[in-house]
Amino acid sequence: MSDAKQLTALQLVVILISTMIGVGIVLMPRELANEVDSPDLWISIIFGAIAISVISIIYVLLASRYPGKTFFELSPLIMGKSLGFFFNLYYILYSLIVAAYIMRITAGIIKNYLLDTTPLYVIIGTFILVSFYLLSNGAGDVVRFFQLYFPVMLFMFFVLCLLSIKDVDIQNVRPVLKNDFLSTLGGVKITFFSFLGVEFLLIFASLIKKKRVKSLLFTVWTSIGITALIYVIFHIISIGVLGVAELKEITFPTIELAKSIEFQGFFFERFELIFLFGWLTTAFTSFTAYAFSMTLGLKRLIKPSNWMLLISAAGIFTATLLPKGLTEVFHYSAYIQIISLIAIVALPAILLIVSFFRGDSYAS
Amino acid sequence: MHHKILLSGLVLVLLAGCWDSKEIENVGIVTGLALDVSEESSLSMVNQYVVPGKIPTQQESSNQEAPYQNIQINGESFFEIIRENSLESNRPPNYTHLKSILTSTRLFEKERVDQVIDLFIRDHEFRRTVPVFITGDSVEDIFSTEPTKELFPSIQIKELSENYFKNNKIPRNLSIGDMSQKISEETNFVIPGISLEDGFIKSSGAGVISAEESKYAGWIPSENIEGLRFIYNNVQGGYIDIVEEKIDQGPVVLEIKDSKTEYDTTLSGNTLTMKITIHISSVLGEDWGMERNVYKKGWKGKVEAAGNQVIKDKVEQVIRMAQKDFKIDFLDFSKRVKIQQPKYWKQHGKDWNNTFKDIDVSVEVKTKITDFGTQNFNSN
Repeated sequence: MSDAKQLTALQLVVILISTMIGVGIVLMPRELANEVDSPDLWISIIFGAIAISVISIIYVLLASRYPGKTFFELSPLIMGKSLGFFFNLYYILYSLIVAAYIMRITAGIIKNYLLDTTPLYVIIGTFILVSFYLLSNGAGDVVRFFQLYFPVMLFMFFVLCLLSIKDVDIQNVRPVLKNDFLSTLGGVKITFFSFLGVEFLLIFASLIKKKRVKSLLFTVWTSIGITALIYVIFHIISIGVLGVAELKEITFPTIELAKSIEFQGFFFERFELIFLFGWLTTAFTSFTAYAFSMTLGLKRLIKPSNWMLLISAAGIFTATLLPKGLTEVFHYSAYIQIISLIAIVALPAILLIVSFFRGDSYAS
Repeated sequence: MHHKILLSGLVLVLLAGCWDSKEIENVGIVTGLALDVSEESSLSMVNQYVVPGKIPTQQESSNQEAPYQNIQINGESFFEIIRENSLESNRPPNYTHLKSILTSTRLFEKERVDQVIDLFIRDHEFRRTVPVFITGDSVEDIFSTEPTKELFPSIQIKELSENYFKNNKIPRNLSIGDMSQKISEETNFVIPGISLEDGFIKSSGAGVISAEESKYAGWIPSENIEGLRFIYNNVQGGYIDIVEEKIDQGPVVLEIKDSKTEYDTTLSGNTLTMKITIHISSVLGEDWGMERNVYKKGWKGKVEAAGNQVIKDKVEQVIRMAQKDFKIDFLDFSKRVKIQQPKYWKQHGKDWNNTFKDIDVSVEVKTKITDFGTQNFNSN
């Protein structure tokens, strides 16, 4: 298989959106409903999008100052060998943890809704095997896979929205903007993390042609904008169908939403099964992106790199099976948020500041 | 080459199949569930299984045995009861095609609603769309009554509400998902009622569930459902029957084509007043008066006014019922106040049950007659 040499702007948008939309879309409605506790919770998503848009400027500046360099090449270059090593190690661990988190939630959903008696390790094992088979051929194939399934994913969400509209009770969404504004703003704590994945601009950087800051920023912001739009529409429909009070109590609100669609005596009588297959691809793309970032980092960190795929797969497999149940997984998510905050905000910001001080730039 | 053949063989053997597969012949499909209390232990449950062999085909004449089997089991929890089914039948119950859940007033007098439905919203096999009904009669009798059109009593119950857009005495179906939503929102709600009359399953009235105790609070008779539906703003059709005493040249029947209920709450000081305006668009359906000339202007006014009065009486009766007899708000007024007076709600929402009894509600009905049909006698 030939490897891709360069990404077009559209491919970049597809990668970023596929990575951002993952397990967040099935978990966020409940977390957000608990945090905001008013029908205004979709406004928090817009605030979250704005916050991540500001953060994404760091990545764009880094990517344009050091064209073609991934995060793992950047950190030793800017911070020096030993500090850079720790930066990379941290980033690899971060990728591992997020990948395991995505995997565990996905496995929980598969077990809850699809394969009731299949052991957890079989579900996780097959999922990881398929993902690493994709990774074994390099970044080009990952990108092509994302491109192939992107329309499927969009179509699935579109169909879900379309079929849910008749159940939307607009009274559930009202009153708009009459609620506690501070708690709406506080929802950013949750919505911000649903945009995790923008940092992959730095991971796929080796495939990005040298571009002007403006056009790169435009691409990134477009991806964030589209993702935010999908989230907002989805949340409004979720509130409309289920109501805020009910959202707080359902484990996987989005799938329950799909489950409440029913056409008697028709193929769609159990729509959630069809929806789940569409959603699984989005979970798969998110997972694959993080697994890719982990293997990429490991290959750079330790040489020879032949066994890195197997080591990463085993690492993720073990980490996924660590929590005893979904309660523990949800409990860990608070720590994961702190870890990711350091990985996607603090580290790139330090890199950028130091690089400014050193004044070196490869952009000519 | 050998490797590839071996690999293909392995893939065929290992991947063709499903870990969780169940043979469809061995699955006991349940179309209906009936929940009740029993004397000897706390709970009782009737599962209505499909017996595929007895479903009549088109060629065969009727006069067959019923194509369903009811298994009634008592127990301490519903989960236990479901598992106890294995003592009587080797086909494990499968609820993915459940069509209705029938509950009884006795059950909800004794047990809390939120506790009863816990299993049915927690388990992934149950769908959120399954409608729930309540009855004061014996659930077992209803599930054994020979249905008029359908093969299964449990499906008959559900389909009774199919004409809810033509007859306003039928309450709209309440799915278990809606029920769970009402419970989370801590609002009172009504469950459509079913009764057994002269050996027939009939839709009749509705049972009120109070949010505070999560228990059965009382029955709304059939004739009050229409007023309730105008308040819920889910009237799409139906008719207005204006009897002879209400109008000269009567009786007159107006067919409702469309209806919309608007709420307006105003806050003056600390007292809340609510104004309900119902806009009805209707056509002349049946006219027993021979003197009306629909081709001349001015015939509508009296009929419209009489129609307004009929609906207004019905709606006011339901509101009186909620405020004076039940003393709880099953009319969803709380939702309107929450939306229109969010500040007031934040202060007094907790005390809504006390406030609700005394709020001043005025009802205005605006009926419009838009059409009179294809022919009219005596149009001279």
